Amino acid sequence: MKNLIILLFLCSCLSCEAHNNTPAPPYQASLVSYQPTSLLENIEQKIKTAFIQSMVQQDNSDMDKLAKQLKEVSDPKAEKLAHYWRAYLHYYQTIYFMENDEEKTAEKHIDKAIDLLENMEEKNSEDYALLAMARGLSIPFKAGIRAPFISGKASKNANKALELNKQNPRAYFVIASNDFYTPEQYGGGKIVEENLLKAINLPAQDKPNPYLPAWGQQEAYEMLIKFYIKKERWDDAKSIFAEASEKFPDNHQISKLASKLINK
Amino acid sequence: MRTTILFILILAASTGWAQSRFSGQVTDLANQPVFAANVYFKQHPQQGTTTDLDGHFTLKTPADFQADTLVCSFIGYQTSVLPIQEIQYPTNIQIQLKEQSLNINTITVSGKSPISEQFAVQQLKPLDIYLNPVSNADPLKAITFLAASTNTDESANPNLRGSPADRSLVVLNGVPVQNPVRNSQINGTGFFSLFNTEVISNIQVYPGNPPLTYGNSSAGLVEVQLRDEVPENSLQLSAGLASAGLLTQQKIGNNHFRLYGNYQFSKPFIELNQPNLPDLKKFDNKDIGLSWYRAFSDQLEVHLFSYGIDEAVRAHGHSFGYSDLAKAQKTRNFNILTVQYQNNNQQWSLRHGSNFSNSQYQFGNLNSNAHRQQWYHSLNFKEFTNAKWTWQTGINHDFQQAGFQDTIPRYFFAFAENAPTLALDTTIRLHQLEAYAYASWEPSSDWVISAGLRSNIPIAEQESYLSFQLSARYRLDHQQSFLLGLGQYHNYRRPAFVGQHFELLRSRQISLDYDLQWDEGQLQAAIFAKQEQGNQEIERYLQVLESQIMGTEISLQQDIGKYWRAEASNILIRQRIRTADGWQRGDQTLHYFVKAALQWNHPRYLSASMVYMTRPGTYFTEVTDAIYQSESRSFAPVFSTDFNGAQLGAYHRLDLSLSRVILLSGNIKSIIVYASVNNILNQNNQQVRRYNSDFSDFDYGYFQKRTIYFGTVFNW
Repeated sequence: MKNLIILLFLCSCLSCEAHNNTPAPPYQASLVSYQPTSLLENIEQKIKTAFIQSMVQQDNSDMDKLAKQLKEVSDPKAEKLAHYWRAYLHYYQTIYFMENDEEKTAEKHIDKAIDLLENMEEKNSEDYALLAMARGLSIPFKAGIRAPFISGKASKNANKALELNKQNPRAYFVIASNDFYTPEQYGGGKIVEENLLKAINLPAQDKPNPYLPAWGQQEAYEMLIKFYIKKERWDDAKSIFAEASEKFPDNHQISKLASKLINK
Repeated sequence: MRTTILFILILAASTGWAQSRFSGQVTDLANQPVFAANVYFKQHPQQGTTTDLDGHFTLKTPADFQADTLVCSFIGYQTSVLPIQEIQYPTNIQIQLKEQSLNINTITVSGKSPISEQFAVQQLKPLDIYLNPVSNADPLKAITFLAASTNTDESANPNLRGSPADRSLVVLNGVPVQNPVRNSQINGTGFFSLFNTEVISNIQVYPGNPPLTYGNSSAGLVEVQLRDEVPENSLQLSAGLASAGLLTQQKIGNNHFRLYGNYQFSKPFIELNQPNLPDLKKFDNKDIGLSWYRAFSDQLEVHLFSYGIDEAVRAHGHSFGYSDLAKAQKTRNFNILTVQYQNNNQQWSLRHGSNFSNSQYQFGNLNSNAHRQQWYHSLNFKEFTNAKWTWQTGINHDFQQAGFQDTIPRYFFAFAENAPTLALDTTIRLHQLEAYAYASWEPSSDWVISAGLRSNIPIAEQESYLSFQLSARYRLDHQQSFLLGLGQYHNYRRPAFVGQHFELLRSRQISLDYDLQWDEGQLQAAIFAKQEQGNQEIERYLQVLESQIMGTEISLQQDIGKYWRAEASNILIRQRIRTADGWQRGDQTLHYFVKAALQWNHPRYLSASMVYMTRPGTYFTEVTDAIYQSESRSFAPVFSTDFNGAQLGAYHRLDLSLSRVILLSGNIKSIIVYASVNNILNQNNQQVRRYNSDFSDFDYGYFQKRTIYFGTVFNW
């Protein structure tokens, strides 16, 4: 049952990606040239597909295969981008192993993601945003007394992402996400709303680009609804839910929040 | 004829190609192809393409492209635009992308970070302060737990790496705040700072080699930034054994306000903790602070902070065999206004500070009335030349005036009420005009190098001086880094009851810091050497002309399991001072200063910390004999020739603090309850040797003995 829910969620993510974040048709039509780096084309989608396959089959081989291919990208011109996507893949591998209760392996993957991004030369806004998100995911493994420290580091990375590109919705999402998961006892929960509102109102990408990241917007919607539910701001929750459902009708994670809004 | 037809066909074909497709290559400044860059027409942003691995692109042209512009963009590079009409060879378009320099929006964020941030040894956020085992939520108290803090007087005023507090500088939003502690007139107080953690966004601590973006420090620097935007409106009420307070944070339109006030009273605290506070009789403090922030546009923001305090303390004092009730009273107001303007890659900031205080101190035949004012102005310009270079320059003027209407003992040792006195009415002024330049260069992700110069512009017959520094941080990997700093620094000593003049002090420093971080912990170590010059009047009979300090420090922090943290540090200081009698042992000499803490933090249940600090007693010069002087109506002490040859007993202190945050779902969002026990073992830590009136006998004044404090905070 748990797997089925995850599967539904992931399928919804995929369909939404195709639906929104990769407005491919006009873009593809103009692309009359060649794409020698077919591996990196629509790589975000490929990673999510591999993740779903792994979850459905309870077998990590699809993600492993993709990881191996990404690792083999040795052309210096594409290496940095490949590193980014390797880290993103490690992020999903972490979730896979967390779902399968293999904590040690999950921790190794998130550490690897952080390691790859930390060692990257001349990090850009996207690199910092992903680094912040990876640090946030590492909190459950280190947590406890370390949580404020990791959260502080994630926050610093997220702010750096924002410094480098104030139009990056993923930067706003990770800032909000970090604050959302910081215990209120440690001062968390104060800047969630303003940052998620910014994240959902910015385009996923400046210009459609199949090699670059487009994640963050659906996640921001989902978190904002959860935040309003937590604060018992039912009217706001319903309004954002309606907006999100219209934009991402197939996103299971968003649609399942409907049950929490009935009779409110 | 055939040739003509062929020519027309070729022309038609080439024209047709030119109008249907554009192609070319995108490279960076090093002529390396840029992969995955966006190339599109400005009027048709959704119909673009991306470059391939070799930077090549081919773009189908829309019907109305002639008046359009070709745009090329990629993360980390400046967007390049090319009007179509300027394109000569549509099939061989060469676009070169420049590395992105930080844009206007960037500065809005990064402009708030100091240019020297990477050279700070410690950075503290509010959460670090709240979780700090010794802070009691006070930002400057949090610093005293750092290995580099060498406070031996339990004060919150930063003593860094063996240098006295009046050589270091505390700045708030870029404006100096002198003597940033409460009740600083009487021994054993000055326990808390003037700052409220709730209005602070972060603190950078430079234990040595203070960045020359500021002047007036020849030891270290504590740089405090205020919070600007209010994320959500809130109200906080607090009540403790010795204080009651209110803090409200409100966003009204585009104005962000924080207003707070506290009233500190002594009766319950003293009564509960008797007999462990034998000298403290009464304190009565009121303070109020207001912060207003507004961003008028993406470019222009203004921040005003205004603070006032009225404090009064009565405590038993002892000096040269005389014992009496000492009364201290002080009113103080300081205001800080900063205006920042960003334009492209440049930032201008105008900082203004004003400070006014009146203080009275009465003890025996000493009656001191001091009136101070300070006006500080600075104009700073910062430019983010590119991702690797940032530089800053500026000019500042600091005007200080101190007036003393004092009746002081004619003889430094004769405080009895019937002993002869001297009446002094002194007003002294200082105009300090300085200019500086500071540059930071990041040649690679492993290195950051900075250099700074600061010079005064002498006014009247002032001595001219030049401060300079060089700092380099080298990251060995993402866990380890080294920080080397060296330089020459100047500051003016703040005049006090003893030493009623502005004295120019100088230091030369070199330090090497090492930092290692891993998932569960951190190790920091440092070695440093300093030479401090300038006449420092410690007492009316003692002037330190020069000081040499060498030291080493180490600190270790390790998390154990999910909720435990252990940390410990040690610092060794060897200080030699030169007085009129030659080189002597310095009273800041510390053969060890160990600070250790064990913390248990569980957000849902409890935060608990146990802290232990120990160090050798401070050195002092004994009184070996006394001679009765009829003119002073007192015994005059005869000091031992063995300067700083005696030592107070070793200092040991164990503290416990507990706090719990209870989250609620109603109007009251949370309640915090806290309690602390200081000096649990009720150790008699000698603070000073106190002699009887003919110096034939003595006892000791002690630091705070066991005291209990508790309180609660309600958050709406």
